[in-house]
Amino acid sequence: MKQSTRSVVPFGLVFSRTGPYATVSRAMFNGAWLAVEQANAQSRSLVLTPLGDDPQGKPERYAETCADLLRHHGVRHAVGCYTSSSRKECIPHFEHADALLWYPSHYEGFETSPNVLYTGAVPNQHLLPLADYMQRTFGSRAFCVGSNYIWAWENNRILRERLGTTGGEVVAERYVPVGETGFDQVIERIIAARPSFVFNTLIGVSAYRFFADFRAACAARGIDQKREIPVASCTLSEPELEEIGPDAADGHVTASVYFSSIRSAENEAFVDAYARRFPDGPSACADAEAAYIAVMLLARALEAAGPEASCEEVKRAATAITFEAPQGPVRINPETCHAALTPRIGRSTAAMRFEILKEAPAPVAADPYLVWNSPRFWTPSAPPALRVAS
Amino acid sequence: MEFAALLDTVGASRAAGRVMTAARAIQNFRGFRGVWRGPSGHHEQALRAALGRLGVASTSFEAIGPGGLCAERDVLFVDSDVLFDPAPAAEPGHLLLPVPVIGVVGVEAPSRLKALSDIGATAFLHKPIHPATVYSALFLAVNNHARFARLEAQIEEHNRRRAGRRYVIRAVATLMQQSAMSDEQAYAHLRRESMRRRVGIEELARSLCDDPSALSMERQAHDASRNQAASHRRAGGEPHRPLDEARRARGPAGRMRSC
Repeated sequence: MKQSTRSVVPFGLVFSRTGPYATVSRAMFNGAWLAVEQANAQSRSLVLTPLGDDPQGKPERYAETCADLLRHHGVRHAVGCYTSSSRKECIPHFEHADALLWYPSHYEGFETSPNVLYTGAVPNQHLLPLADYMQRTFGSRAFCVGSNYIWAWENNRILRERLGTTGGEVVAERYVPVGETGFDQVIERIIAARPSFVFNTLIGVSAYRFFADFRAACAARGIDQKREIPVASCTLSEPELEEIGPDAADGHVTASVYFSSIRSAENEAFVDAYARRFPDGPSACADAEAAYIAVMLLARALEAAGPEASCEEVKRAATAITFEAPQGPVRINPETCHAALTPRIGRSTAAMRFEILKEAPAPVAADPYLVWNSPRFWTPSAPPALRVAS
Repeated sequence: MEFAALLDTVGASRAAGRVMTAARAIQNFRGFRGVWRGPSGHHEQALRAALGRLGVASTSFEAIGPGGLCAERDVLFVDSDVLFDPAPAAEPGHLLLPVPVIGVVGVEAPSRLKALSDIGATAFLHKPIHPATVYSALFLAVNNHARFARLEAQIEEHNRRRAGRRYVIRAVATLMQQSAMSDEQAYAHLRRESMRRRVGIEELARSLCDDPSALSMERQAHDASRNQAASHRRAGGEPHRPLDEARRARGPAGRMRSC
């Protein structure tokens, strides 16, 4: 069928290509863009036309961009956002317009908007497997350091609860503003506390600087950081290892539903296509794959429901599709609007990749409210040394 | 579901009338039941779908009737745009309902809000019901309801003890007259006895005041205890110095303590 008979569907791509977490966000943009090209090449009825702007990591710019796309450009679907703050700013616009936001990032859960489809992981798919692995492997005393916003607060709470129910503890929590790069005091505290492991919820440049400075500070004191005080994360990805640099990139434990080192035909095809299309990076990673999945599902759902289909009809079509993604089969649950994904634990290597240590045998349903994965009662704990470090 | 555990925070404090220790917040509502009181339709449907995602079952108030509310697991969602007489479901003499209430507000008129406040609503949802707000409402409603129940139980306990204080004063005064005790000695004696018998000091004092012969026996017991201590000292043993005597040894007996 010729392109002239295909329906042109404008949709939003709302990713920051500059700002404090630009590396990850550009990888997401790339993953989405690759999917647009592949979907358009495969489709006989649709041409997806991406529209968007660079919100520069500023939540209010995300909202302005989405509002503009929805009001003035006929957009009814957008793939985008990285932080929860940006997503929360955008959701009211999608609800008002009865449009769909396809949110392709891991996040802390406790949300179900009827106008959002979530293709990233929630804590039962990343944090809980990570907490169990770290406790079994390294010990049960965690020191939490994170960027001062909801991602870090809530993940630290869940970790505290998990460790608390299994005899462990969070010895301290430290928060820094997004974009902060001064970690001397925090690192001193960590080394003094000697936890079993550090749980990192820093994002972007803060995380890269922390990993490098922490490794250097430990080395200066004769501490083998990888072995003695390993750092565990739910966010660390391949492009970020490249940002950290070769001196401190290896030996970090990460929970993720995707690593570029997964061995499967689908993933090899994805990694090859991504590398050919974006030779200058950032490398393929979990966030890029989640954005890729979101656009592919959008394309297939639109194809099934029709380009003029309502938001509800597209959602229904999307939840009926099992997509053979690079990580394995992915399907969105119609009740929770979250994707079932395959949890894995990896350890970073000096080659800026991850060796996969553990892998769930099958996709795990998202439990965004931890209905099946948390105790009934709030778990009390000794007040942690909780403060904003700067 | 572990209803016994729920009892600790949701309804038992009021039923038992005891002061409870600080309770832990409930964060996971799996096993709870949402009871909808209002016209069936899309609001109820939206609520049922949102509750299902949280592991919460649903039913309607009409289906279970006023006596069917279960304090241990139910949360009542009351549509404020429809008149609701809470009396059949409330505790006798109260408008307050025995379960957490979430007001579902359409018209934000003072009369509707007052009606919700009267039946003890501790959280609100706006119409149309947005699924992303239901968890927050449940969290606030259930935990605030439990907190109010604990505070109510504490107030009841304080009132009960305050009412019993006059008996304590009478018992102390009587013991002072009959046994030549100081006020501190008399009070300490009552306190020790209440602990030994595992009853509140107010209950003990009241029972002693109601039965003067018991007070006389208390006095005799006190005298016997003093004599035993004195003979122990005469025999050259370690000086027996109960707390009240130790106090007296430090200085003159204080005046009657305020009750």
